[in-house]
Amino acid sequence: MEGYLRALFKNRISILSLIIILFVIGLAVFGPYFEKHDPLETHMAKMLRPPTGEFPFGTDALGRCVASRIIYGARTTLLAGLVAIVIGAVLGTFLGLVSGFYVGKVDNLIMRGLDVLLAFPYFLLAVVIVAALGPSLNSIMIAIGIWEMPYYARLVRGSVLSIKEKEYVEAARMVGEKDSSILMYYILPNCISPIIIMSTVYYAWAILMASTLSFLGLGVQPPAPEWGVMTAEGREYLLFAPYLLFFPALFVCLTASAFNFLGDALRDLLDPRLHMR
Amino acid sequence: MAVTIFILITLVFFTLSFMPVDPVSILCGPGATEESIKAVRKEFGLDDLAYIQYFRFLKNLIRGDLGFSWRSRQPVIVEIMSAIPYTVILAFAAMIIATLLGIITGIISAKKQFSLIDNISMGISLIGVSTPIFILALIFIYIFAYRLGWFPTSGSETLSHLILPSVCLGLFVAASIARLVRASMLDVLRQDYIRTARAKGLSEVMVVFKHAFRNALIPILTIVGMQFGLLLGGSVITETVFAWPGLGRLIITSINFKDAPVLQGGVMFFAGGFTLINLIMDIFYQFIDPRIKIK
Repeated sequence: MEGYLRALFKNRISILSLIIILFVIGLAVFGPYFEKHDPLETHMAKMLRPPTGEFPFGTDALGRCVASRIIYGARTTLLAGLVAIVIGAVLGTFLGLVSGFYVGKVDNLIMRGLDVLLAFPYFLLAVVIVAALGPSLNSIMIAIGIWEMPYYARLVRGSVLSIKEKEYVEAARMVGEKDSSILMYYILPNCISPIIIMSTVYYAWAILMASTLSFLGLGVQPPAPEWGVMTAEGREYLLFAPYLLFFPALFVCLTASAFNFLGDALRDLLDPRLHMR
Repeated sequence: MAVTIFILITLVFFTLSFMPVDPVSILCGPGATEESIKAVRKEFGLDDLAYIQYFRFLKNLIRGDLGFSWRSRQPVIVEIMSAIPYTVILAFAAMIIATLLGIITGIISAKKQFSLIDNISMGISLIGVSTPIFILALIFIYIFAYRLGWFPTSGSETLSHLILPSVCLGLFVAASIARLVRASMLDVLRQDYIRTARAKGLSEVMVVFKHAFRNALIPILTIVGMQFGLLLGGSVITETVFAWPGLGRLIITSINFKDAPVLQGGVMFFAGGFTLINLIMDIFYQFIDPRIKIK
């Protein structure tokens, strides 16, 4: 892992991505302590103000401060993405471990089951789950987690298939270790680094998916500040106040790009075939 | 494949039966009398047990009957059939744009790996992968419909209504195709037979297009096939933003109106169609590459 980190710091784009990520995380964690406007407070006298000194990102149709909504929105979005990938990673890793370790019927059953989930085109699975659970922040976190689960399962299964042939696993088996402890102490720790690396990319997916679902009115409900919700609200004033669309859109794209660029750089490091010469 | 579609139908049926909605309130409206509520519950078979409703659903499905919409009281199959041509047109137009743009960019990038043009086009495509399609669509509407006034913002009456949604969806998918095409071209360009082709003095154009591209074609086709899911999923959002009356928009409006039968039917058609496309692609590979055998 240290070798990866050192190589990572040689790449200018990865450093820029890291800076953006740290900035957005800092905004989400500390931003609310510095922002004097309440994201929900309406100022009817100050509707649709373009970006100026008091309101650096302007105000929306209800006179709410866009900057403070962006800051509080960062909390919602980052947290929603985090919970979603944790759900996906935990369920997916478990299924991947079991299916990679017990080749045969169990493996077949799990993989066929996951194939059904992958048979839904792109984000339709998340839409179905959200429709069943009702639109809310919790629903989209569960929906995105389940949507990402098969990708984690496939990744982990692939690693397990190669790791379980290693001599130390053979040795553990000879000593009489139980299957569960072989999986926990010998195989899982060796799957962790691909899981973490792919999680940066899946995190970007989760953020995009969360904002898309909220934009469509299936996720976080207004008036709560969330980037997708803000984009949907800004849409109605696109002609007169394009900054209402610009700022939330910028933050969604910037954050997702940063995670994607970082994940890409990490993946290249993992797969040296792609970055040779 | 049949098993996958069957499980999929079952999964969608039972997942959506959890929908937090009281069908009677939608069907009868507020202030309905006791009798009319009873009549409606009977008409839609809402008092039966879940598994009875499920088997009735399957039985009707085989006959092409998906029930009636709770909102419009029209047969669901009629609503779906009138939406499908729009989705097919949009998907087709977007796929052409995505394939052409993605493959050309990918090949140029691979050929000139690490050059300025490679870095720029891969940078743009990575930003493209990180831009949610609704934002792309809104930027397009702002620039080309509001500012320049070249195209209408929404609707489906004329050919010019198709341009913005299809370009938008096409660009979204092109970004992923370009990145994957570049990777598989890079793989091929490093093979020994490419060195052989160069060594015997062939021109670069011949090497790239005749020897490299043809061999990269199989992975590239796989990539394009895989992006169908992204394309179909993306079309749901594109259709909603541009008010394009396709299947995706039907699904989203049915969620907003809590119209479970239409949602059920729409999702099943969408996912079933996607599974079918995947099967056709699998068969297609066998023709272009005899090394691939289907089990």
